[in-house]
Amino acid sequence: MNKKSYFIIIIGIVIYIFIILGQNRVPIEEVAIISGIGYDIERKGEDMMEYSIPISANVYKPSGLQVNLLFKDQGQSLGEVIQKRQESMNQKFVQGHERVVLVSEDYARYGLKTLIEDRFRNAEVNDIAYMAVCKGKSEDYLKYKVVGYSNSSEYIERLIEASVNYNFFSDNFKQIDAFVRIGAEGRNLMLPYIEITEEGIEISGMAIFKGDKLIKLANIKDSRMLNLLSNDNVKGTISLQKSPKVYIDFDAKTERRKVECYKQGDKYRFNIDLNLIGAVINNEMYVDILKDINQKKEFEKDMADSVEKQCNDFIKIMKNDFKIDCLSLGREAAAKYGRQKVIDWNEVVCNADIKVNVKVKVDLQGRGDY
Amino acid sequence: MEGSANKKQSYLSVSQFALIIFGSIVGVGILSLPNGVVKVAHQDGWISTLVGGVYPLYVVMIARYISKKFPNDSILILSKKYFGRLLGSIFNLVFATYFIYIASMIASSYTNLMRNYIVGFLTPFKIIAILFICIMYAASGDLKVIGRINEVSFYLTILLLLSPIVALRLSSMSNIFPVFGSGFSTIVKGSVESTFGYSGAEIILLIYPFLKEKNKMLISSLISVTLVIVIYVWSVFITTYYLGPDIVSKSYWSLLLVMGSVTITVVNNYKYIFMFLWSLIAFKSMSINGYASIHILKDFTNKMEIKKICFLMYPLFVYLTLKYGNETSRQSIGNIVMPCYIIFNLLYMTVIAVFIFFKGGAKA
Repeated sequence: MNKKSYFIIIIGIVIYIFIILGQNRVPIEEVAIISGIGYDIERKGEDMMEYSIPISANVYKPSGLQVNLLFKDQGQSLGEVIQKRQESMNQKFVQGHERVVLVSEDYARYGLKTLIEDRFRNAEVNDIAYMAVCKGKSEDYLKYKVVGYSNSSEYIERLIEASVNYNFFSDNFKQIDAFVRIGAEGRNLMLPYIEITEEGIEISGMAIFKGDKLIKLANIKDSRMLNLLSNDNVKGTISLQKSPKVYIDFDAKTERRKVECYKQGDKYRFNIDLNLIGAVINNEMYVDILKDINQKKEFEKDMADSVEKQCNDFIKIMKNDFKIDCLSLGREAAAKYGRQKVIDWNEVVCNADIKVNVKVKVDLQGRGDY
Repeated sequence: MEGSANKKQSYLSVSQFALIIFGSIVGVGILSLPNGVVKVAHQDGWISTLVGGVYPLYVVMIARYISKKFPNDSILILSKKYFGRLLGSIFNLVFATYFIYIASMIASSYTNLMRNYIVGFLTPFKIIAILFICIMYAASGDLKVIGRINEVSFYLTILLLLSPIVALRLSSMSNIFPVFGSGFSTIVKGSVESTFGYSGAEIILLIYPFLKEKNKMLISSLISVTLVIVIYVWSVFITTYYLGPDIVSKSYWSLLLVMGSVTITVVNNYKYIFMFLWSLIAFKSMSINGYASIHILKDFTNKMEIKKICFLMYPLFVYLTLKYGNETSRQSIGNIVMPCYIIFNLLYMTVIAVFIFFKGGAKA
């Protein structure tokens, strides 16, 4: 080796020592990896309250054993919680691997502002962790033992991830989706609402936010329509039923929804076009749906009418009960008539004329008619 | 070097020439470019960015005009020739401080970014000290070295900046509409903002004498500047498209939020891979600007070796970069200093071009 290579090696070592000086490096076995985080709040009077942030952390033992621990501490501010947490925690913890961010109903009603600030400022957090609102305390959900899973956060993540298959749930319940919805004009945040029932943790509806505050909860039936109307490319099953013996099930998939917005004077009008394409998965109603083209058309029409009716029912509930624009229609109106004009899009949409046009198309019918 | 090409100096190939211009403009700034522009021009930020592209195009046009008359003399010699020795030297010195400023500004921005996202445990001094060792090493070499670094990093830049294409299916065009909705005056204001993002194009005034095939200068520089504009517009567009105009200005490095949307199997978080590779691109744009400043300064010293200048400049670079402080203070300094430099650059090259026009060509 010539002089130059010695020089480079020496420089390299010097730089390495320079970097490493004053560092406390910890091996991976000695850090706790956060797998799920919850945000709870306890109100103690008018302006008095305490934050409580349970975290579920994975700890890896040198023997290969993996343990899930729950740390829970309270404090007047989010920073105080971290301080107190370290008092009872014997390890350093790392972020960025969390799978779910659970928010208790109380916290959501108080407002997500503090949570979003905490999650947005911190560059280490996982932006694609799922968010959900839970009934009661989030601590109970992180503590919950699910058979077959090392921790419940993993289970809740899978639960939300799999919800896209039926019920028209979308995949937009990640932390980044909350960021882009809360502060945006004409958009409102919707998150899945989970509950602990006798059968375990399950999704029981949707939490509807206005700004950063939870204002209403939709049950699962309304959530289905809410998701169908507000999302693109979602999947779900709908049925037409006359009696327990006479029914037809349709496994539908929507395309990109089309929203048209008109303005007449001060009143806005919205047309939502939905195209449902899918397969008949059960048929006990239309005898010759495979052979008779007229019957197929009749079914498509009946189905479209039924879905339209359900949608209109939901819109009625939305306008009168929720009093909020759950369908991001304000966003479409803002895109057409201009932004930054300080218009309350929730009010505009609730007073607007909303028309839903549904088209149903049978694509597949299964392998036969038995 | 004396600002002109002599026989010892190796020439740049056409692609190296074009990519140095490209690399000089595209640096860390692109990650925070959408912030300032979208804050002013809202959903029409991408139009402002397009309009702001007039600045580098103007620089290219001026360079073309000058190089046609004086193909072998860079702007440093011409400035002394027309302004007189003293005034010309002062202007050249200001021009050198511009490149020092840009290089240290990028370094500061890079350090802030890295300390926020990845190496929060390191002190700024450690990062900056090591960073500038590399930059000075690259800048102490030939222009050909810089050219090669640019050739390598160019493909990486394109690949990395095209990766947020996946975000296209995750949002909708309603974040971009209404086009032209924010009004003509705000779009113009936004384009002034975006002009700062195009700084670095001035390098062309220094390097045109080293291009071997002089007849391809215009076309190659036009292609590279157009590519920069396209990439800038794309970045602002995809950021606004994905985040919506209200959210973009909330994050200091909004383009990185879009990178979070890219999910690759096995890879836990693409954002970090992006930042790791982007370091190379930041390093490249810093070394070009460092090279430019050192070679202008060499003009003032009598036959001093480039390496010695590098050693002398190293503490200055480290000191300056440390002084800018955190991201907010760096940006507030930038908001004051940058417009002055842009105005100076415009006047400097325009006046020289005007002199050439009135006093005639090569034999004047």
